Amino acid sequence: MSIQSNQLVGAELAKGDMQIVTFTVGDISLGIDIAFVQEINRHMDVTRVPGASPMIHGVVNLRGDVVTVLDPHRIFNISPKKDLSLCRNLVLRIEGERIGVLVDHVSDILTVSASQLSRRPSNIGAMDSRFIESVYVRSEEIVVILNPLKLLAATDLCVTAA
Amino acid sequence: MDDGELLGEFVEESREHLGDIEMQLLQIEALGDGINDDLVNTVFRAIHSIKGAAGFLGLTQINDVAHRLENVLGKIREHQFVPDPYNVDVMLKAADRLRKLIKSVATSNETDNSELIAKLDALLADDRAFSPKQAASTSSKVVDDIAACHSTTGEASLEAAAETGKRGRAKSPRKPRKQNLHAGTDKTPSPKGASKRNPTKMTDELAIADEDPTRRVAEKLDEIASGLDQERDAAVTPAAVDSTIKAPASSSQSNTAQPSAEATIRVGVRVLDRLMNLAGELVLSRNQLLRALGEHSDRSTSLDAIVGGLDQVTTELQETIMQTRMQPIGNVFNKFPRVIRDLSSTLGKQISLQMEGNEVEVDKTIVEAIADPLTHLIRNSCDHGIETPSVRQASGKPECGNVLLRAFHQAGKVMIEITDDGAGMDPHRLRQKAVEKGLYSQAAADQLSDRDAVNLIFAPGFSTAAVVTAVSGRGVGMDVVRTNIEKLGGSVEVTSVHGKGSKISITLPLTLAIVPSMIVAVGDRRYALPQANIAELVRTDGVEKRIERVSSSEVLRLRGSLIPLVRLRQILGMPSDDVKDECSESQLVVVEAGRSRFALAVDRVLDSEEIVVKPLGRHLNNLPLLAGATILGDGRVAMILDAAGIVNCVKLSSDADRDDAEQSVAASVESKDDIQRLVLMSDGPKDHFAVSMDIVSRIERVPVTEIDQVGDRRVLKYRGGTLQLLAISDVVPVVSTDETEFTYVIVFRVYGHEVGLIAPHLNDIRDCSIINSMETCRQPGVAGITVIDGRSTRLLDLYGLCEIARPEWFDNKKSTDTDAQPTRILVCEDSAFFRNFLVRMLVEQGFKVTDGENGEEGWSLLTEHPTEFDIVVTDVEMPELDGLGLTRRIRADGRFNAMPIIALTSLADSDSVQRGLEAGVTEYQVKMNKPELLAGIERLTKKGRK
Repeated sequence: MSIQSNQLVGAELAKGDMQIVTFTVGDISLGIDIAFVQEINRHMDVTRVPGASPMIHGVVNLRGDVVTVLDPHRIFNISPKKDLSLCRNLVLRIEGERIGVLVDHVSDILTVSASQLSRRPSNIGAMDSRFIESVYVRSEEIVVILNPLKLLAATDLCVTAA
Repeated sequence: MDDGELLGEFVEESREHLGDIEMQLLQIEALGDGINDDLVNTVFRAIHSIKGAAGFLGLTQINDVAHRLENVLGKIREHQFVPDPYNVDVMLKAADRLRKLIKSVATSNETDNSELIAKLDALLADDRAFSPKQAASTSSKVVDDIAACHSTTGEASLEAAAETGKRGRAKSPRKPRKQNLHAGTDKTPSPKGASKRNPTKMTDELAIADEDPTRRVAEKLDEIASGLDQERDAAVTPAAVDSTIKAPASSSQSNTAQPSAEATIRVGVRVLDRLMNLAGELVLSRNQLLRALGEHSDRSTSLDAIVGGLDQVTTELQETIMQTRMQPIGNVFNKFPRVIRDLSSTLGKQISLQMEGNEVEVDKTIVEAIADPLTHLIRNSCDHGIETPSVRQASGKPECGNVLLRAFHQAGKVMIEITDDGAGMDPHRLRQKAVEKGLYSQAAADQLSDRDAVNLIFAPGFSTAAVVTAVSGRGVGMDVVRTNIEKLGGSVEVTSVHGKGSKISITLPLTLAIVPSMIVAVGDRRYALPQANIAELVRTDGVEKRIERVSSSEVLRLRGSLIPLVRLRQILGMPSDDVKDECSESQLVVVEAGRSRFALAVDRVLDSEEIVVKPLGRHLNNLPLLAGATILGDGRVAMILDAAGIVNCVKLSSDADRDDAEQSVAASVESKDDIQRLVLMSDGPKDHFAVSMDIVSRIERVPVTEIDQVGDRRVLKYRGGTLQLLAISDVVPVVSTDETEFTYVIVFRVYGHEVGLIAPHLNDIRDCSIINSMETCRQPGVAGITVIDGRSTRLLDLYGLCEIARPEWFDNKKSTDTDAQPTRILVCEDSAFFRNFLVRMLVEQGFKVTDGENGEEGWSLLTEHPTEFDIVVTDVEMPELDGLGLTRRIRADGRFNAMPIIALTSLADSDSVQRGLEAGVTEYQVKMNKPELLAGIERLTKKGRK
């Protein structure tokens, strides 16, 4: 199933323009295909889940549904912010399930064409290259485009390992 | 209505028809030749309408099978055919086939059912061959009947039928469509054609047919009528509203033969689920509203009234919607008579199933989800539990095994019990197996109590039957059964008496959607704990209920029992609060999960709320401590604690009496043998004593003035003689003895002497558990110390007491025992307390004593050293093999014909004495009556030696 979706994303990328939501986690600029983004919320009251993977920030009430919120700081091994009040909850819809991602700041929505995206560099420092789809270079800034499916899969692995 | 819808309707309706058919066929089978016409008619009509509709829809295979089945039923209806297990079997198979075909209706025509059809046809043929007498005797009558039928009823009903057909047509505004339908359904004769053609055809058939003609006529008529029925149904269009309503109503009436006065409609489950969710949301919103309003103290009273109304309506709405989802558990139970019937024949066993509580209603999701686990458990009971008739006979049971399936409500939960009177389970073998399978080390397995051992069957990869059969497979299912039941928020456990049967108890919640819960807090986090798990709330007050430490774990002392304490903060991995002292006042919640009980320490208990369980995302699916999440009144998410998960997490032993930390009263009641009827008395506020009631002859209350002091002895002038008295303080150290005006005298006999024990206060006479007595505190005259009502109570050994106070009575007794060869005694007693008591006492008397924990152990000791025992002293009530069982075995073995057996019991009523004597017991004695026992041993061994 996830392979199928991957191909779907690939097809969309090849087709030409795509929109990406860009945000920051720590000092990294990241982007996610807008097709996966359902909504962006203020950081809401998060309930911690004892026993869960450290990659999971907690759960929130999203209009009556309990939604898991991931903490990408943990995933990318970046020390999390102390003050969470400015954080945003980026709610993704992946394979029918809604998942929140706790980001420090939502920057922009960019429209990029496939030709503007480069393959991920082989030495991408702090971040685990597994999650990275491609890289978009925008003036001085590099935006790392994430593959949400792989992000999720990595969290899954972590849960089962725990 | 297009064809697809029509087909859907057919499937739906046919399922309804087939829903009860199993039960009905089984009933028909049970009645045998006492045919219940109504019942047979009901089944006949059900099959008949399936046949009709299938024919109409061009479902040839379904039509064929139904038609043949109908033929057989028709014959039963005419009392021309006696249902027996064999032919009902074929009918059941046909019903099964129909269900299968209807399930995959689209491909049904491609299936081949000729074999089954041939079987059904063969039934009729067989019948003719086997009961020619019947046919002959009825033939003349039948001819008359046909004549009558044909001339009057037949024509009349044909006319009537045709009439209906016409009307149906007249109503139909879409003629072309109907014809179209006809084209596809050549099997169903058109009503006109039928009425014209069939009478003649029938007469022809009658002429040649020597099988029951009446049935044929009836069948043809029905066929025609059904054809008309179909016409009418098909003719109905959405526009013809009135007839649409009538049609299903009338058809359902005729098919189920249950006049349904209540109007019912079919509603999709999806709609109900959605409704349920919405109701859940409404409950949440109401909770939020109530909370928000609660924060405003200055709200007006009119607003209060409105909110109150909303509150009430919401609650009612929720309850009503819940009701729509409730289904009688009988929906699941009904399939079991068939399961049992089939199993009986496959396994070559005789099993009868009784069911109780079919009407108990449970949430639909639970009814659905419990079907498979229940089936598995029932199969298991039949396969592993119930023995074959020969084995049953050999062990003195009726050949036919019983399985009782029972559902009932208990404390807001649904209990389902499966009880069988089969072989039960052997805890030893299970332990052994657990070791063999590598699930437990030998030491760990030995530590398991019998109760835990039988529950090993739910451990992954466990199979109890020596021979693995196709029925219950390799036992892999049992852990799946448990997992599935636990997924539903229920629990399952098994209790078993080896040789007598097993009982599997399933506890289920009434519903899964809304759970009344208690909200507890640790720090600033809140958790929901389902009220079903909460036994009580306790605030430690430092006096009666105390938190104590037993080695490294904490326990709560509550009304005389010790409950393990679990700190929520700790198990959730939260930093412990420095401000609070560990043992300071905490709010405690006594939680029950299955068999385990523990006290959960939380910071605060906030509120009770009806929470709506929300599923957690897949990342959080398998967390051990949590059962899900909910949204609280303030909109925040709270986690739901899983009591069973906590038990697993802290590895509480479910077995209270093995666990040092626990001494739950409930658990000790289980062990019947450690219950003694005790006389509770006290000398003063600090000296509490107990005496076994079994050896007390009587108790009297006398004024102190009547007691005379003679030298250093006290006597009571009594019925013309004197009664020697003993004061406890004469022998046992006592803090103080109260001076009272009256005193109680407990009278008992020892070696022919009647003695009275002086007790200033008599507190109670009742059954007490003395399981926790500490034998280390044994001293002369005291058998042990136990805790009764929270007070240390010394259990007096009256004989020991007398021995000290009146040594002269015992002098001559001891000397007789100094034989050259000590008598060798085998003692079997499961209670450690009594066993040690007996062994010690007998050893003191100079006997050579070997002891076993139960009959089985005793038996192996005896068979290993067949010549090394002179006498057997055994308890009656024991696990594994009881005293009577042991006696029977001993008596059955030629080597031990002359072996004297003394059975000891605390229940020496005449019935049990009789049973004991029948089993071959030489003497029956009451426990703890030392002189009697010694005398008995002496008497019997002397006799034995001669």
